[in-house]
Amino acid sequence: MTKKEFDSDLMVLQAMKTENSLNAAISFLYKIHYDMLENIVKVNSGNVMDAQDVIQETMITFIEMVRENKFRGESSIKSILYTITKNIWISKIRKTKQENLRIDKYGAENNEFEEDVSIQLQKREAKTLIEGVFNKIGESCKKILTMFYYEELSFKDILEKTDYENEQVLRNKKYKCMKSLTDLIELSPITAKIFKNSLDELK
Amino acid sequence: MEQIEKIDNYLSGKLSTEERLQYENELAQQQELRDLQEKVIVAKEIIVSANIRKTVSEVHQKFISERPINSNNQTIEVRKPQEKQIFLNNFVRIAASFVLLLAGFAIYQYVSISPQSILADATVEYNPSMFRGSNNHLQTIRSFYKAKDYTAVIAEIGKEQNRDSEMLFLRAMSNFSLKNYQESLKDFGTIRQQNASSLKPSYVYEIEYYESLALIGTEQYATALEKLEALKANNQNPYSKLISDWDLFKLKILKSK
Repeated sequence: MTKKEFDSDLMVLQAMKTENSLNAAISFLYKIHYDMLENIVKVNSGNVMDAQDVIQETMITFIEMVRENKFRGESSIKSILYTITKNIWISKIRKTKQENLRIDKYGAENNEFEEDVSIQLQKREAKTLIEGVFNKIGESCKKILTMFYYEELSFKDILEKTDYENEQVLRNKKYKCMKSLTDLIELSPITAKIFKNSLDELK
Repeated sequence: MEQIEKIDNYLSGKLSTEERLQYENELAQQQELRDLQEKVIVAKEIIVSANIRKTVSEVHQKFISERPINSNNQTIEVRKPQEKQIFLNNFVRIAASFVLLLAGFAIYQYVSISPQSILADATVEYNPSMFRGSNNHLQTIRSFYKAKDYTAVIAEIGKEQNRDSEMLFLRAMSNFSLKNYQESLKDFGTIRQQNASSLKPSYVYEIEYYESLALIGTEQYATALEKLEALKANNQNPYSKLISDWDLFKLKILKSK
C-alpha cells in the first residue's frame, strides 16, 4: 500500500485495526512521521539509537490505543505520536536518573492526550514485565496461538494453513499450547497478578 | 480442554445468552474457573502484545535498513548496480558477508557470554504466596521475602532453632537472590537430604531448577549443564519449559571457555 492509498488519518486508523493492513499502516506512519519523532529525542539529549527504541515503543503504544478505541482520530495522528514519544522519552530519562539532562523543552506542550497516554504507558509497562514468557513456548505453539488469538482465525482456517491431520488434532494442540503458556504464567504469579491488576485498574 | 474453549467463547462473545448465564453462574461459584479465566486473559494479552511488537520490529528494521540518510540527514542517491556485471560479485559478497557474520556472531557469543548473562535470562522470580497455615514468625519471614528484603529473611531464619524445609528453602532463595550462590547450595543440599528420607518431599522441582542455576553462579558449569539437560528432558517438572536450547548452548560455550 502506498502513501496515496492512505488519504486521511481515519483510513490509517482503520487499517491499523486489522492484521492484514497493519504492516502497511505502520510503514506509512514510519515514512511520514519518523523524522519528526526522531527529532524529539535528538533535541532533548538523546541520540539516533535512543530514538529507535523510543519510536518502536511509541508505535506499539499507539497501536494498542487505537485497538482499544482510546484514540479514534479526535485530533491528528501527528499530535498523538508526538505526545507518546515525548512521554516515553521523559520516562526513560527519569529511569536512567539523568534528570540533569534538559527536558524542560517539553514543559509548555501538554495537551489533551496527556492523561490517556500516561495511562496507556502504565499498561504497556505492566505488559512488558510479562510478555517475554511467550518466547518460552515452542515455535509451533507460537504459530497456532498467534493465528487463533491474534489473527482471530477459526480452527477451520488454521487447519488450511497448517499440516495438522484434522480439526480435533489441531484443537488438542492448541489446548496443549495454551496450557504451556498458562503454566508459565503460573510460575510467575506475582508478575501476572501485577499485570492483571494494572489492566483492571486502568480500564 | 473444554474449559479453555468455553472461556475463549465467553470472552469473544460467542456463547448464547443461556450458555453465557450458565457460564457466569459457574464462574461465580468456582474459584478454580475464575483463576483459569484470569490466566487465559493474561495469556491472550501476552500473545497479542508479542505479535504487535514483532510487527513493529519488522517494519522498523526494514525502514532503518532502507533509510538513505547521511550524517547531515540528507537523502543520498542510491545507485543501482549493473545487474549483469556484478551478479557473481554480489553472490560472493553475500556469501562472504554471511560467513563473516557467522564468525562474528560466534566470536561475540564466545566473548560476551557470562554466568551473569545466563542467570539473568534463565531466572524467574519465585513466589511463595501459595503457602498456607503457619506460625507468626514464618508469616513474618514470608512477608520479608515477598518484600524482597532477603537480608531480613536470612537474619530471621538464623534466629530459629528448628528450621523446617520452607524456612531452609526461603533462605536458599534469599541467598540465591543476593548472589550468595554457595550459601544457597548448602540449604538446597540439606533439603534434598531431608527429602531422601521423607514420605512427602518438598520443593523437588524448584530445587532441581534453582540449584542448577546456583551451580552456574559458582562456576560449576559441567554439573549445571548435566542437571539442566536432565531437567529440560523431564516434562513433569514445570520448570523444564523455562530452559531453552539456547540457554544450554550458552552454558556449553561457558563450559568450554
